[in-house]
Amino acid sequence: MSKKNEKIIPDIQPFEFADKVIHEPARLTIMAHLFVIESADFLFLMRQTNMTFGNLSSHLKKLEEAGYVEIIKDFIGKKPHTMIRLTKTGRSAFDAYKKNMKKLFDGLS
Amino acid sequence: MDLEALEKKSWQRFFNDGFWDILLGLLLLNFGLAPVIEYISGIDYLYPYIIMLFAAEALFFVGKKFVTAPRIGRVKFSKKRKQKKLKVSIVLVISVVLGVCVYALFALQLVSVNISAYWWVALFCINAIVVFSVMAYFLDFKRLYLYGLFFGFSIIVAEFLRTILQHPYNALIGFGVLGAIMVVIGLVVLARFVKRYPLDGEIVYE
Repeated sequence: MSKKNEKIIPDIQPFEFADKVIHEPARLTIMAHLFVIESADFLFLMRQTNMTFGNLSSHLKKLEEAGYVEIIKDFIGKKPHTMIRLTKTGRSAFDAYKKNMKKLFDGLS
Repeated sequence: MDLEALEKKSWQRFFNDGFWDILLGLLLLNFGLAPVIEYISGIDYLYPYIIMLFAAEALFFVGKKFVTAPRIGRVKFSKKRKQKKLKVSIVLVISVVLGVCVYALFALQLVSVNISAYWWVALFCINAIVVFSVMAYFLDFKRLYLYGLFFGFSIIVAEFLRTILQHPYNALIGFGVLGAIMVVIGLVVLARFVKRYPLDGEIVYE
């Protein structure tokens, strides 16, 4: 970029403050759905997000690796049951992501 | 992305299975059927009413467990939503306790005020509408506003028909017709729900 252009748009920030794990649309949808509730099972998330089993599992794996979601082994009667919920890290990461996005779009005029 | 709307959508999905409509419809229908059973069999109407009440509740819980949950999964809602449910429970308990107290006061003749039947009708009608409206508001379940009107209106109709029809047919028509309409609405909602969310077999995420 030439020095002349730098003067015209001096304050533009690189798009790095958006958490790349959350920023992917499918994972953003999963995070948003989990953010507004306490926990849900896999089927509920599948229905809410309209994702396929494979798609949802692969995104959940990535969110789990990032420490944003946790799997809770539970029992319904005698049957084992798995619930998924956001971790504290996941909740604050989503909060921070929301604030950053708001700041970004508020800055655009 | 509207997070509040997202939460509301998740919550309301659990009312779109029709089981609430069927349960409330059966409760209203029972008010009409129990006096008819009493009339035919001579058994006090409270017994068939309690049996049918338990049957309706059992149907509700079985439906939720074996029809709804396997189709849309399970979820634990936020504390805010749990507090709203608690408020509804408190309103229902207050309404029932007040109803029982008022009934006891007059049934046991602890109060010797002669109140016209029209006032009783108005009182129960308003109580039904208020309780259902509070439930509809806190549960974000809009059809409850309509069902509040159904309950209230059915009390008026049953009382009005008392002057035209012999007992228990006034109750059967007054409560039964609107109760049956609610059950039909519930069945239609349930059919749509089952069609929209077919069983996918057991989905296990490890």
